[in-house]
Amino acid sequence: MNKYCRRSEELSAYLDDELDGKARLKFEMHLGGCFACKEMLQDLRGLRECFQTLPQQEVGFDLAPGVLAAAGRRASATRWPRLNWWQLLPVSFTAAATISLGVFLGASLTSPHDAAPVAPTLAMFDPIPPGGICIGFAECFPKEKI
Amino acid sequence: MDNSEACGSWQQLQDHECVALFLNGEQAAFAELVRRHQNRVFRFLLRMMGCREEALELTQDTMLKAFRSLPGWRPDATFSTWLFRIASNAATDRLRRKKVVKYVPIEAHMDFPDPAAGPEEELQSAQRYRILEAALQRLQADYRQVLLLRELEGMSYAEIGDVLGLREGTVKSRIARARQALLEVCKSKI
Ligand SMILES: [Zn+2]
Repeated sequence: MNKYCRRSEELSAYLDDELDGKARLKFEMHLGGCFACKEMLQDLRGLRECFQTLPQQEVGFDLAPGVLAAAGRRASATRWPRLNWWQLLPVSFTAAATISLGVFLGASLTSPHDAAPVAPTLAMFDPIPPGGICIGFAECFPKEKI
Repeated sequence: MDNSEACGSWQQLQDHECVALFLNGEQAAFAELVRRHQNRVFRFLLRMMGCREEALELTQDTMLKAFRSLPGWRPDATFSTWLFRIASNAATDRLRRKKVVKYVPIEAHMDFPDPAAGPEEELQSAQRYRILEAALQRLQADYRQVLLLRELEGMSYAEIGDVLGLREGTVKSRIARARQALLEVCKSKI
């Protein structure tokens, strides 16, 4: 198969019976005197026979139930109810009320009069322990008048 | 593959009749179409992809897409041609995404024995198809596609044109080039 005739496209169509009557007749006349085409026709027929020997693999089970189930799942997943704007009103009001309530409660928690709570004196952080005696802070001793 | 009691009556119907019934809400008619065509589509995809799992997945995808697209289908081609169009698009998309060129060696031990060597015809034919399978995997995808549709599905050039969205003249020249390429890959083995 080193040499191809330039009419190999017609040869292939001839093999497939895809040439009309006139073209077929013309090609058969060429084929009678073309060694390359004769040889290739033989090769292509061998190839065709070989295609017929390929094993006929099968899926091995019925795909239909799985396909129908998948189609059903996808349909229900993408099917959203279509609502008109007036059907969405109650939902909108509820949402607006919820947001307003949230904003109100949030604002009341951070309002200025609550913002500075009186810090209780924590005895444990006092320099003098409860009931203890002061050991050196100047303010703790009566100042001598000079 | 026989769900005979459920689809016994469906088996009598032509594809286009099943399609019409499905479009009228009979899902069982679509199930019959799947059963009827699943193996042909699977074999085509198996040889396009070279992998059973991938072929199975794409066969299911093809059927699912057919299910969704059938309501908008206009019968300008037969149902099976249309199904192969979906399948071949799925294969082309997947191969394009993978962009993997597989190199399948044609091993030396797969050489054809001499035709006059003896009566081991079964062994011979097993070797021949293995060589052909390997050679097909080495062809470029668009060549493999036309050859499978022509040689295994027995489609005419017009039908192949419908499946692949090509003009008949293009199909004719592509098949001729694909055959030359296949013969070159197989060398003297076939
Ligand atoms: Zn010639």
